[in-house]
Amino acid sequence: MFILKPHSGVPIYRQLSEQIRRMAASGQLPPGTELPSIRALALEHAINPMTVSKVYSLLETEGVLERHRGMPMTVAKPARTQSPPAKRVAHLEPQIEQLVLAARQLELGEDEVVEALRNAWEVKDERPVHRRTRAR
Amino acid sequence: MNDPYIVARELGKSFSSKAVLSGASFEVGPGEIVGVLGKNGAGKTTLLELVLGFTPATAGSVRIFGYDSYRLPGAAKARIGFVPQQDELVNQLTAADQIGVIASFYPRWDDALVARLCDEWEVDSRQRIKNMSVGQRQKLSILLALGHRPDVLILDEPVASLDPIARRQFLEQIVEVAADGRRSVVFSSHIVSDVERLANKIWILKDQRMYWQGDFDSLKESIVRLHVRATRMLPESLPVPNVLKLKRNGISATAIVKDWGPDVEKRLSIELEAEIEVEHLALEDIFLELHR
Amino acid sequence: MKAVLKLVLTYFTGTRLLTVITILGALGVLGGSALFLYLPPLLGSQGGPSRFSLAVETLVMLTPIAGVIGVVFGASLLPTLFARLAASHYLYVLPYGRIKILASVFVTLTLVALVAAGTTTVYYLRTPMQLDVVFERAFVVSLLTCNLLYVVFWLTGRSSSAIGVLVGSIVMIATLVLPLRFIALPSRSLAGPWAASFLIWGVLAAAFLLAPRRKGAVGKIRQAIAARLTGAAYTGGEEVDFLVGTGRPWALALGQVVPILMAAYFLSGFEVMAPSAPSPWLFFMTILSILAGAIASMAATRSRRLWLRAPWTRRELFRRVENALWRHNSFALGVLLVMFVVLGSHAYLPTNVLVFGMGLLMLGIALSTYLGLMITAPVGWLDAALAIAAMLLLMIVATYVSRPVMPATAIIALETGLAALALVFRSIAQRRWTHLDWMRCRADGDVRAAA
Repeated sequence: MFILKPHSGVPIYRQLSEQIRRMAASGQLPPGTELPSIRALALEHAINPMTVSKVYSLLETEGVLERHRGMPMTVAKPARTQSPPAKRVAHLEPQIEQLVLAARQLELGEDEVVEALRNAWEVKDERPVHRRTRAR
Repeated sequence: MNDPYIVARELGKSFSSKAVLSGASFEVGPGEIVGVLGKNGAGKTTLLELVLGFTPATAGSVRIFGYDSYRLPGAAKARIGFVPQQDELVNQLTAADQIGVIASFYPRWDDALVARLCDEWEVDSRQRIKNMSVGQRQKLSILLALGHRPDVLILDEPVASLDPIARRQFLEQIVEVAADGRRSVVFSSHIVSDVERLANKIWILKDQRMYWQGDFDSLKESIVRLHVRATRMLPESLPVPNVLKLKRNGISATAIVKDWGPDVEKRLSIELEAEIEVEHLALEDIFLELHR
Repeated sequence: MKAVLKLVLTYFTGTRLLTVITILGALGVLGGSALFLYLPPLLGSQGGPSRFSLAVETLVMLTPIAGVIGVVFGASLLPTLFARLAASHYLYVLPYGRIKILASVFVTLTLVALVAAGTTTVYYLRTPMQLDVVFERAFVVSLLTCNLLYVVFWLTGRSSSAIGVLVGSIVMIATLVLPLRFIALPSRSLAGPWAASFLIWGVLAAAFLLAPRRKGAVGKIRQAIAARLTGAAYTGGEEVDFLVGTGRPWALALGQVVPILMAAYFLSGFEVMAPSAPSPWLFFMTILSILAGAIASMAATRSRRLWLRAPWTRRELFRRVENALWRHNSFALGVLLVMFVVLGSHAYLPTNVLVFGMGLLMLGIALSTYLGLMITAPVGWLDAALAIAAMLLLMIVATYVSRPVMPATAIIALETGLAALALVFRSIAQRRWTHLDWMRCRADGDVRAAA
């Protein structure tokens, strides 16, 4: 279900919580989906059960997950008001940082990167892209 | 947290005026997995032996289950499991006999668990120990410490001789032990990747002192490698607190910094008029950097 | 409590070989004693002709002793297990570990001493001596010698050297001799042995319970003593000698002289011996000559280093090791023979006994050497059976030799038979050595126990 890399610089709890948040926000984990038990998830990835417990508790307070007594944790229904785009964009920060870093190393300019981004977006997306005219 | 199982205050040990460990203060509570890292000779084994009460502390104190470790009563010992660095099995016996002898000392012994693990870990209980490979001996040693379901499990380099499959099985068993949140594990290992998966607390021993100890997640977040590319010559020392290491090269530099935070990054990039890349490190890199 | 019981059980049955030895020992004790009690009067009683042949008589008389030896050696895992536990972290980690381990040692020693004492008492059942006195004295002395025996084993540890085995064997001989000495003279106070027992026990227990908890400490003391006893220094001489352990022939000789002197001292006042009993001298000496086999049995394992360093084939290796062993043994043999003649004439043994006895000693050494050389792999049932059979044969022939009325031709025939047997063993050993597989030789308790 999740991809965890224990040897990256990012702590495991953060990787896991980020993934769950993202998957919940994007609908990959629809509301009501049962999450594996702490023990099962810890065993599967050979990680500390306390880490999993920490993540589950954290996400519960954030409202992403719901706890039911005696039953597995489930994904909560999304809040009435969806979080503002700025907040959701914050989830993308790690990837954006990586992209910028790589681009800089390749000595690419901002424009080339944006172009590439746009192309990738078109391919991924089924809906037509709202083109923004931009002064060059 | 609930009452911690192990509490140490300014723990120290010297042998005839040579300090092997000094000034260690720490706590281990139920459900925690502590990873102990350090170079050979940094004092890891001594630390574990002090916690277990094999040897008296020459400074400070260490208590386990509320008792002074050195004077641990017999009944409390039934709650502790230990796996030594070198196996201490009796060569002439079969694995079953060895298990039987150790098991007879404990009021409770989970035969079913030991049998299941023997099966999963491929340890033949009818085999003579002298005919076993090093890996099997080590697995047997670990089994002997698990059978009585101790509340505190202390392991000194438990997987040095195990192949990756066996190591993974061992890790899974540690997860099982810690999963109910009431039992603790302290293990020292050279195999940093194992510690990285499991530990939620890290103790780093360096030069016979507890160099760093605390929550593992914060360790990862707080120690970073900075890559600085400035537009002008950099000063001798970076205006950043807690620089552990610095390598300057004209307008660029690499630094290892402790207690990192985003505000520090902002300040630094303004002050130095530089681009700063922040690299978060894997545990092995952290360990290496701390020792370079 | 169950730890103590489990430990005691493991001391006696930890390995297959030991289990067998223990069971055989127990059977020997029980069966031999029963036979002793219910068959018509045998030796040690009113004298007079018995219905059975000498061989059977000897066997019946020796079986309980062999049984006791079996029980004593059946627990020979005790020093090993004890030493291993004592030097390990388990000592501190196991709940009440020290006390329980110590208790198990005490229980085992008492058990073994009881068996020895009981068996000794059986021998005196038809004599006019007071049985409870006999039992008590035998028990005390057995306890003392068992203490010594196992302490020595503990100190010399996994002795892969001849001297370690020798020291243990010396004490074993004392086990046989001392009870007789003290029992035979009821006037001798028991205070000595009791005091000695308690002293040894007190020191051991105190050291064990209160020892500084550096696990190195115990091991280091043990190693220091062992090193001193075995002498780790290379004193020169051929490499063969050094590596195979035959570099100190005088040590073997000493190891023979000392127990003989001890036996001489203790038995000099011993009157209760039936006329047709085998001469105790021959008995002991035959056993002692078997010590040579102990050294030979290590040869296979230790020759691995020789093989790696020298350009010899396995066949040549065998020849050289054999020569080294004989060089080594002939020195001790010479000493033995001289002592035998000296003491024999002092005890007024008849000439033919002396002559045949000397032959027997040589045969004893030959047989044991080749038996030892035959051990090139973990001891199997066949080897163990052969060794025991050879030993029994030797003892039986020893009995025959000391009988005043045995015809010389019969004895010559027997000794020739034994010589032939020795040659057979030699050829087996030689054949095995040409296929020597060092992965299968291991210098450990199995080898030592068999020796």
